[in-house]
Amino acid sequence: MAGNSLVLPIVLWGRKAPTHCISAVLLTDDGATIVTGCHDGQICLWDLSVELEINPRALLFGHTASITCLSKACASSDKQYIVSASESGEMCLWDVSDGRCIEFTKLACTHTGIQFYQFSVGNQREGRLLCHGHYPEILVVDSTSLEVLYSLVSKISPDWISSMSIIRSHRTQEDTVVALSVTGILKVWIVTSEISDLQDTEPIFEEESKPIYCQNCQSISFCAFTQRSLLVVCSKYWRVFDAGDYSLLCSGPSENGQTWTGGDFVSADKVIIWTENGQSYIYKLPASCLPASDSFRSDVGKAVENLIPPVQHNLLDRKDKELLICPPVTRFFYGCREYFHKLLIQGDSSGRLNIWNISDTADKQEREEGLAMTTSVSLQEAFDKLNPCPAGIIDQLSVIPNSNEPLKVTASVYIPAHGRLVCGREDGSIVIVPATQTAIVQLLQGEHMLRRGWPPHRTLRGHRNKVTCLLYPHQVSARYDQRYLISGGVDFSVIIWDIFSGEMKHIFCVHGGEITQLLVPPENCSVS
Amino acid sequence: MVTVMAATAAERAVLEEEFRWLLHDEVHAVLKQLQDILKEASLRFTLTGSGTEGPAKQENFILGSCGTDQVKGVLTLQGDALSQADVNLKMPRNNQLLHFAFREDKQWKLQQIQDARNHVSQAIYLLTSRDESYQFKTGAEVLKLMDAVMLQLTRARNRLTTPATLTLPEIAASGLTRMFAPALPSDLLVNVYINLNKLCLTVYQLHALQPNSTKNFRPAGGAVLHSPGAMFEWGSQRLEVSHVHKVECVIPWLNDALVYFTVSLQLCQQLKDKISVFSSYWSYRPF
Repeated sequence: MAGNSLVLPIVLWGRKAPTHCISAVLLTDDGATIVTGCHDGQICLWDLSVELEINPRALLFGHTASITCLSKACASSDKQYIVSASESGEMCLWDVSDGRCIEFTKLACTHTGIQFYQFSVGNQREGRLLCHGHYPEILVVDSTSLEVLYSLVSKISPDWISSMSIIRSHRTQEDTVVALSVTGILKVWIVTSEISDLQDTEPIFEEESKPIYCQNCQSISFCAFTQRSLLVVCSKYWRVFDAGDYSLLCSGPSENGQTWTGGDFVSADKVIIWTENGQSYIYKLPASCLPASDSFRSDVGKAVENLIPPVQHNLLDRKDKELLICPPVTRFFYGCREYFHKLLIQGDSSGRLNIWNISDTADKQEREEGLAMTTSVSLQEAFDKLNPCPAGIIDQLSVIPNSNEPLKVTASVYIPAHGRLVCGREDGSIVIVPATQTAIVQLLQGEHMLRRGWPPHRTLRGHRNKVTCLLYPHQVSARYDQRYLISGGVDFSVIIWDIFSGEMKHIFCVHGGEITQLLVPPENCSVS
Repeated sequence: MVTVMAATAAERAVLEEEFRWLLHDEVHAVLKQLQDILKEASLRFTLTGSGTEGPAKQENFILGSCGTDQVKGVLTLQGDALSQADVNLKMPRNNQLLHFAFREDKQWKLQQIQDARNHVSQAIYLLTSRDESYQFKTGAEVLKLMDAVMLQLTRARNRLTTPATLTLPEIAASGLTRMFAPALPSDLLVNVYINLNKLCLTVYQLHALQPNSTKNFRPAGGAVLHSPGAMFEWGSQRLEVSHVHKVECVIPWLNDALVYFTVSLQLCQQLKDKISVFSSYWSYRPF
């Protein structure tokens, strides 16, 4: 960027919200913003009010592949930074308050989980990101520069790590990182929170490697309430372990054959586990799992079948749930400083966020009643609530009698040289409008909108069905005449138009199928 | 006009019937076929899972080139690691025969094989969660599942077909050089990797560049296989590659696995195409 001129791109949305098939969800530490990442690589920021009202605020573009994980990335409470990782190895650091991308890097490997680890150097608070993914170690990345500093490596059967949890010790300076590899081996590393320079380059080897025979582990969480128990959720069962010696305390099966995708501790004696279908269940742990009770560890060594705890609550779904095309993402958030809710947040493939407030579930609530959802909003619902309704580019020209929906635009190309936007529509017509009128339609309302024939436009008719692609060759390569516009459609034909006179110059009908793409060959190829 | 509408209505009914058949029957048949093929592929990797006891079977591979016999190696592959490497080198200058082998109980893990195996396991996991009893409600669901499975299979294949590009200092610093007894002389570098279906062993012979040499020193970048003339700096010395020996051997089960990946990817793509044909019909409008 040269000089002081900063070009800010602005996006004008139409009536339909963009698709947002949620693949990751995060609640910031201050409890005010929900961040969701989607399978197309966009990140959406939603404002969460104290009364748990959700409102989408911004959509962040930058990643080119689906978002695999999100994590907080800043130690101080005045800045809200988050880090996002995608399938192609990209990592971005974002400022949540204004949606700026602060740092970007691309690694060769995909991360499937990132956790923020805070420690102090002197009286400075610094942050590191502990990442695991499709590689056999845990990478420790600097949270401001996104550089890989060192890694936690394992000597005994090293393999990909499927989930990881950081256990902070309040007594000593040494914190523990507990991780489960894809082959079901539990690995433990000791990380000190006081870091000297020497340690920043050498790999750290594990303290302990213990097979606990947990296949397909989905998540591992440490109980912040008891500081003693570890919850491991696998796809067909979940288990609670004593974090002191990793012995099994209790085990729960799958409910109705559903697959578990994660879980967390809600309180010292309750866990919440969620499934692939979006259902969640709260279980009450028996006394043998609670360090505070007299019968703690009394069940250690017993057979797994005798240790099954009962379901206490069943979280209810929406009545008119949309059809989902992939499993929803669920996560539990518990604030201890800024907000005191215990929230279960779920994002699904229809761009919808569901929140259950499970802060005050009383013990005496019947099991059959179930816990109702507190709020639920989808991106399309938020768009529909807007007044005035956002207008599409050429909505006034696309009115179909007896229909609420305007004629759909199926292909478009922008010609900056003439300041024109060319839109191909689903009935085969092509509309050419001056590009500035799109901004006018969104930002200004006035009498000009009621005039017949506004905006000034030209319609080209020739295709018999949906227009699938448009190409202005002169834009791609100057060797082509600037008069010509090429369009392809579902009717197997390619038409050349003269953009100034609006005439159809030629129609090629020899194709054997729908036209899917129009391309300009590179400079020195001659096409005979 | 009415007859045209009636004809299109009948056509539409047939199309819907066909789509229902596709979602309920054909998709499950294809998924079952995919599962079978991928389970065969994962068996090929014959690694000890956390459940089965006992070491994976050992396979010896004799690596040699048909031209010269300057380098000959016998590598023992156990699962995803090399448990033994017996390398014989005939030095061109003095015809001296050098012999190196891995130190006792040392193993060199081939990360490419472990990554490929894990990607296949992920693909199988995605498919087993959608078995016969699962009802697909929309075509988009099937497309999403196929995309996810294809991503894992493409990654698995890429791990085998694209070995890591390493710079010469990285090869010198890798733990492989320290695995041998007797210790490798300082003018030899060794690298082992998987390329497609072959296990490759490369030996680089180096000579030191004199400080007052007139040659223009340009450190070589990363490559899978470096050529003679590549230069690099290691410690306090500047070194140049004088000879490169590469020997390889086809691993039969890797070959099978790659074939299975290709077939599975084709099956996935065909199913996606079949579903996509219907997606264009839903926005069909009589004109």
